[in-house]
Amino acid sequence: MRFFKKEQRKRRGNREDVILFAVGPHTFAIGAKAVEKIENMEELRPIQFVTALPKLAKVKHSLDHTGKTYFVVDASTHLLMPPSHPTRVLLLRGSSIAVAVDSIDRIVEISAIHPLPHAFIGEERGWYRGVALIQDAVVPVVNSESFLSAADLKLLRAAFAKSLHPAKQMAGAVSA
Amino acid sequence: MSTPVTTPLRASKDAYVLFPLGKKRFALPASTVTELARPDKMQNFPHTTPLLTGVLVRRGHIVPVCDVAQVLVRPDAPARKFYLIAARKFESGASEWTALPVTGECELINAPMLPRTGPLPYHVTGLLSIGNEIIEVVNLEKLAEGRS
Repeated sequence: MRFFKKEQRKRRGNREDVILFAVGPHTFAIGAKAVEKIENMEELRPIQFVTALPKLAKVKHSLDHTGKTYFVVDASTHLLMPPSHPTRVLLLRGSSIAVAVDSIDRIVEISAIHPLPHAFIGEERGWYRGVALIQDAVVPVVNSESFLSAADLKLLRAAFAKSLHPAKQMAGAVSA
Repeated sequence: MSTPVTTPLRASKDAYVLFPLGKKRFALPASTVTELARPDKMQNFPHTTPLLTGVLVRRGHIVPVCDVAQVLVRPDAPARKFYLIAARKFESGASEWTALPVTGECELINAPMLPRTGPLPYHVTGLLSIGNEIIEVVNLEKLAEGRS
């Protein structure tokens, strides 16, 4: 049984299931294992406090799901694209991050992720794990850990908690 | 259809590939040039690297397209018709193909390179004198930095 499973793993090699999604005119891929769930935009709540955190302007909404608050990153803002029209939200597994995208295409199995050519030296080196060739199309595979850093999340959580309890802040100020 | 650069001239240290950008021609050492490719489907995705306009898929390689015309001829750059595929080296020691959009057919010549004289752009390594024409020999690595 162990030998059979090892052979299965060998045959699978670098194959990976990815979810194809669109932002504006571009198609991207994300590892299927990185996504816990796909939701629509109905339950999103706009976040007001990000104006005080300009570097986190890409976080425009929050989403409450199964008792957890997700911070929703707008994919077009994250990728420095013109504003688009998101209709779907990818909730990332094992984190408080969700990503708003225009549409979901399908799940495909890719045989390999090719490294980004050395000539690319900008922010894309952090955005993408590499690129996949899917039916002659070059599709960037996004790095699910690139949307928000641990430090960004800490800032967001602190600002979010503050925004929920403004009365406490005011009372503190008065008594001082 | 593509035209590989594989004539005996290529082996000479004085062999260069001349490529046109509008009315002006430039040169690359022939040893760095792989092929001249007809227009191919260039694909793009979001990135922030200057001069890169997309990628091509050639013989299983993902080849970045570097629009050097923006550095070499600036606003006078006409529509590019072919891709000159050349090898580009990086500080890490890696080497990869790069596609340079050019405006016409290229020419393989054998001529001694003259040293740089006077104030020339950063990416020019020398000059070729061909008839009445002075052609700048460019260094692809310096050219791709985008400095002038």
